[in-house]
Formats: sequence, C-alpha cells, structure tokens
Amino acid sequence: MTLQLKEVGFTYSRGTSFEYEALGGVSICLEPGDMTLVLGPTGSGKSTLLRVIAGLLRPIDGSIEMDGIRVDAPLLEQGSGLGLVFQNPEYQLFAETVLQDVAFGPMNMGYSREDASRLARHALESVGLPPDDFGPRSPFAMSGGEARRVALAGILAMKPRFLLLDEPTAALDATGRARVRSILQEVSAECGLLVATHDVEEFLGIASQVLILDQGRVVFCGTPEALIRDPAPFFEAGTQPPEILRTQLLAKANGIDVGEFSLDPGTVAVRLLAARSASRRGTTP
Amino acid sequence: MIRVTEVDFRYSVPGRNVISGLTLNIHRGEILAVLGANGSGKSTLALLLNGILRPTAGRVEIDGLLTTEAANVSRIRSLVGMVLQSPDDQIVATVVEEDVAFGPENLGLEPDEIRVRVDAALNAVGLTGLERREPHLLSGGQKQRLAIAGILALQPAFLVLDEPTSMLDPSGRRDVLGIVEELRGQGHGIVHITHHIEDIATADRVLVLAEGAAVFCGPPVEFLQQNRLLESWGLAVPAVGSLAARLRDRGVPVPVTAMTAETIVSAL
Ligand SMILES: Nc1ncnc2c1ncn2[C@@H]1O[C@H](COP(=O)(O)OP(=O)(O)OP(=O)(O)O)[C@@H](O)[C@H]1O
Ligand SMILES: Nc1ncnc2c1ncn2[C@@H]1O[C@H](COP(=O)(O)OP(=O)(O)O)[C@@H](O)[C@H]1O
Ligand SMILES: [Mg+2]
Ligand SMILES: [Mg+2]
Repeated sequence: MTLQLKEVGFTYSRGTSFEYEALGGVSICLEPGDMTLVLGPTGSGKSTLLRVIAGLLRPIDGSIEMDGIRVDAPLLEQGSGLGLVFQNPEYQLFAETVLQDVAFGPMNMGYSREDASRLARHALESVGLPPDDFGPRSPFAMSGGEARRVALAGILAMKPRFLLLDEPTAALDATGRARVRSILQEVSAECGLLVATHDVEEFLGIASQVLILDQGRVVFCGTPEALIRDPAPFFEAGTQPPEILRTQLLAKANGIDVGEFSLDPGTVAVRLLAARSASRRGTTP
Repeated sequence: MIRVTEVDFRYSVPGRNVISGLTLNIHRGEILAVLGANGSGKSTLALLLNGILRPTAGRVEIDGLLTTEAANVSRIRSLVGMVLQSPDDQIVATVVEEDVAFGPENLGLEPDEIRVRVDAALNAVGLTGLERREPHLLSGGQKQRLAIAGILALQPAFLVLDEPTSMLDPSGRRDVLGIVEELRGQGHGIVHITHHIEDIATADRVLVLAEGAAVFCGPPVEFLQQNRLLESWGLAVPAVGSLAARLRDRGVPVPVTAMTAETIVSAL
C-alpha cells in the first residue's frame, strides 16, 4: 500500500486579501515500514502538509494517490486506516474519562466494548500512563504532557496503517520522548509514519526519509544519512541541525578533522579527541 | 520578590497533593529554570505564582502581597505576567496586533505608548509583518511567539513562562533565550519552565520538581553534577551535553554547563 503526493500545493484563504500559499510542489511517497520526518522552521508548512494528507484540507494543485488511485475524500473517515495526532492534542480529547477517550476509536471501528477497552488499556500502558491510575480520570484535568500521551494512545489503539504525528514530543519529558521514539520504531514495521518535528535529535537516527520545508517548498528530500553527511539544507531552510552536528561542523570549520559526522556522542568524542591529539603532536599535514 | 512558603496544593478535596511543602524565593534580575517530568507540578506552580490558583496550605506573596487576598488580585496580575503552556488558551483578540495591545490597554496606557510597545514586542519575537493576521490562523510556533509578545508588551516585574519554546525550532528557541536574558538584564525576574536541559545554561538557579516536591534547587553547575539522579527525575541531557561530559572526562577543559557548539569547540 502506497500513499503518494504529486506536486501538491495548498493556499489558505484563496481569493481574499489574506491569501497565503502555505505549500507548493510537494511530492512524497509513504509506505508501511517507512518513517518520514518533516522538518522546517515555524510556519514552513509542516502542519499544513499533515492536514492535506489527512484530507482535512483539499490540495489546490497536484494530487494524492493511494496505490495509484487518486483519492479526494477525506482519508480521516473511519476505517480508512489513517490516524492523525494534532499539534495541540488537548483539543482532540472529548470523552468523560481517559479510558473512554482512548477506546472511542476502536469502538468506532467495530470492536466490542471489551476488546476496545483492552486495546485502550494496552495503548495507555505503552505511552507510560498506567491505565488503573489514568483510565478513570477526566482527560481535561491533565498536565500538558499527559494530555499529549492520551491523544497518542487514542490513535495507537486504532492500529492505523498510516500515522501522521504533528510534533509528538513537544510537551514531553525526556522519558516520554524516548518512549515515543521506541513506540514509533515498533509500529513502523507495519505502519507508514510521517512525523513533523523540531526534535531532530530524537528521530533522525531512526527515520528512513527526511523532508525539509521552507516557506512551503521542499528544500531537501533524502535519507537521514545524506543529511548527516551534509547538514547544509538545515541552514538553507533557515533553521539549524541538532547541536551535536553543529558542533562537528564548527570543529571542521576550525580546522579540526572530525572525519565523518555522527549523531552518537561517544563516536564524536573519540573522533574529536583523536583529531585534537593529532594536531597537538603536529602530525596533521 | 516572590516568596513561596511551605505551599501545598491539590486540585480537589479528596485528592493527592500536586505541590507539597514547597518553599522558594524568586528575585528580580534572576532567571529560575524549572525542570521536572510530565505531571510533576510545574504548570500548577506557575498558576500559583500569580494567584490563578490559591495554595491549599502555606503562602504565596508577591512583593509582600498575599495571593489569597481578593484585594491584591489585580495588583498581583500586573506584577506577574504569564505565558501559558498552551498558547491557544491565551489568545483574546481576532487580530495579532490587537492581541498584543490587549494587556497594555487594560493597564490604561496612552495609545502612543501602546503602539511603541506592541511594535517592539512583535519585532522582538519575529512576528513583524503578521500584525493584521488572525491569531487562530497562525502556526503553533507563531502562536507561541504571539503569547510571548503579549507578555513583553506588559513589561511585568516577573514573567512566568510555561514551556514557551516547545513548538519552536532551534533558532526560535535561541531567540527566546536571548529575550529572557535581556529581560533579566533589565531587572525582571523570570521563571522559565522547560523540558530542554540546554535551556538552563543561562539560568541563575535550577529548580527540579518531582511529584510536586522540590528535589533540587541550586545553580546550573551543581545541577549538572547530579548526573546520576537526572534519570530518576525523568530528565536527560541532550547528545551535545553527553559529548561535553565525555570530553571533560578525557581532560578537555569543557565547562560543565557547555551545551553549545561554540563552548565545546573553543575548549578543544
Ligand atoms: N485541572 C486539574 N485537575 C486535577 N488534576 C490536575 C489538573 N491539572 C493538572 N492536574 C494534575 O496535577 C499534576 C501536576 O500537573 P501540572 O500540569 O502542574 O504538571 P506539569 O509539571 O506542568 O506537567 P507537564 O510537563 O506535562 O506540563 C498532574 O498529575 C496532573 O494530572
Ligand atoms: N487556517 C489558516 N489560514 C491562513 N493561514 C494559515 C492557516 N494555518 C496556517 N497558516 C499559515 O500557513 C503557514 C504554514 O503554517 P503551518 O503549516 O501551521 O506551519 P508549521 O506547522 O510548519 O509551523 C504559516 O505562515 C501559517 O501562518
Ligand atoms: Mg505546526
Ligand atoms: Mg505543564
């Protein structure tokens, strides 16, 4: 199953004086088993892209195809196998209790009350919210990070084939960020993932494809390896690579031969130390 | 000065304390960074600092004014400005510049003064050019910048910022840290709640909450030396921090608070 965007464009408030072209000429291909990162500065069009793919906004140019067949109807309709976690998931919650909220999706998909509740409890457990503590609570009396975890559990419980996540780690603590990374790594075996994020450090190492947007245009589309090798597209888009990469760029600019760039602090430390002692011994040519 | 004395707080009567036994002073001209796991009580503390929530036990005083006294409420709200965790909860107007002007107008400032403050605030957060936009049509990060502009225009003595950069990219986060340092220089007291440990490098003190209790309060250098405890508090240093630590272990003179490319490379 393949979800393909061809030269997709979107303009907000078309035909008014507030007309704003938020996306232009975006082509990507999503398949189960892939994790695509969408990066870019504030306002670059990441959330707009997710809304377009989810069918909440209709593209003005280009087309979206599922297995080669053009789809127009909102993909969010139940049973379509596409889940979306919004940037402000607080507004996605609605039920009386957390457990009901998370079980709502599976119930809607036709699971029995018992099965839906079992899936919901499992999903809550996986996002680090013990179902016995959090299940009976009101989703509106939660901390920011807890609300985000509930929203994520609600989508995971539906086991979607494509999952779109808008800044899923934004309000999470370090434990929560690591947990989300491992959950996504796990579900990506059977699910096509698209993750819009500023948390590049958390996800770059496990992604299969990276898209960098700037003012609605794709400035980079390629593998994480290519981007680690040459992080220039981050700067082109008006943002920055993770600090550990920027450190290696700066070291290199200062004549320290760090070799190949890496995201791993241990590897980078070894290379920096080796380069440093080499230059101290005066052996660098 | 903000003085928090032996404060307990719970949201409902049969319920656990979300803040317990908290004692803390916050001074003008200081940045206090607040860290802690999800649900540890950070936002609750923020809301206690300007009287939106009242302590179940203990006292919160702003320049000697108790937050529990109804007569102090409006004075306290003008002394302590807030950026809420969710910027949507903060937007009041239907046009960006009017949203920023809302606070100063309520203070009864002259129109000319308001114009100056609104322009300066929007410029500081990089929203110049979006003055006439509708706030609910902004991106998440743009809304977050708008919420910060709203508080900058008020120039309160104390600013409480609840995860003000959670939706910003690295450059945007750096801008906000710069604004925070500038405010400190002007004598404002700042409480900066964050999940990004690299944000503490410029703070004067770090408070760590765990299940509502202060488990650490001290300068950033001391905080970073607690590396064995960080995990139990639900915290972790970023990759660049562990790179710095590894280099330090091998004798490179990298400062303990080094978490930027510049500080590391200049030590090599
Ligand atoms: N309105 C409310 N009613 C009842 N309990 C609440 C309410 N708001 C928050 N809580 C609970 O109080 C505790 C502290 O919440 P708080 O929002 O202060 O956490 P936080 O440290 O800001 O977390 P985060 O990092 O997720 O924003 C959490 O266990 C939360 O579930
Ligand atoms: N409903 C809307 N109407 C008009 N403009 C919008 C709307 N939503 C977003 N925008 C604008 O479109 C651009 C892209 O927004 P968005 O996709 O939310 O960015 P990102 O998620 O990358 O921060 C921004 O300039 C934003 O202000
Ligand atoms: Mg967004
Ligand atoms: Mg909070």
